[in-house]
Amino acid sequence: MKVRCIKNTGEALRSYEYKPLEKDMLGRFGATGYSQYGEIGIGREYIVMGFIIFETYQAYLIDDNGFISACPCQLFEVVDNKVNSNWHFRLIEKDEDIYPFVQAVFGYPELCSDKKAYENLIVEMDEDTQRIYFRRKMELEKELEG
Amino acid sequence: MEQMVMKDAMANPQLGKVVMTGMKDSRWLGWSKMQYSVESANGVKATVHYVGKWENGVLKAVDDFKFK
Repeated sequence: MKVRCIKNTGEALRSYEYKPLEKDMLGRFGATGYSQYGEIGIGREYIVMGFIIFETYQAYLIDDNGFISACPCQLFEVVDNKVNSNWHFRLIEKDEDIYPFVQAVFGYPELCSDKKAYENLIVEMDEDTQRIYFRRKMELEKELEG
Repeated sequence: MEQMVMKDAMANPQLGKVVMTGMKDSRWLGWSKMQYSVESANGVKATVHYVGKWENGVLKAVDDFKFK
């Protein structure tokens, strides 16, 4: 699956909020009207490695020149909507630290089999976890080349 | 550039986004982990993590700013 970044600010997400908010207030995307998504660049295309289903929004798991992030879907337009046939799905259990912030994950196998994958990729930026992400990405890129 | 990003994050913590809620660390129990990333003109990224206490969508306190 491929997406293209069309917006990269919290202000751009305001129209998707369910109620009016002051600019400095946190909305459902975990961003304010001042927030900046410096992790992504407008016009750039990204291979989607998975979906992170948060309690209040959904995000694509992507990387920009090796910097991995989970950014709201509304910041992108879909270029290729075919998902990889090797993707797995996992519902987060209520006793996990990331619950209820994260509700489910859907993507490359280890994103699901490693219960700490989200935290290790996004919060801790753990190198071993990142290495697995990029190994799976290389496989996906080879598959896309055909 | 990194110092500028840190300065911006500390002066304007609403620039960041939440990457984790419900922290278990007793120093910031229930706070949220925040991230602020900036890309320079030559493509280099600088990222700052910090913790924020949000109440009804309003930021009440911040702490533990560090580079990632």
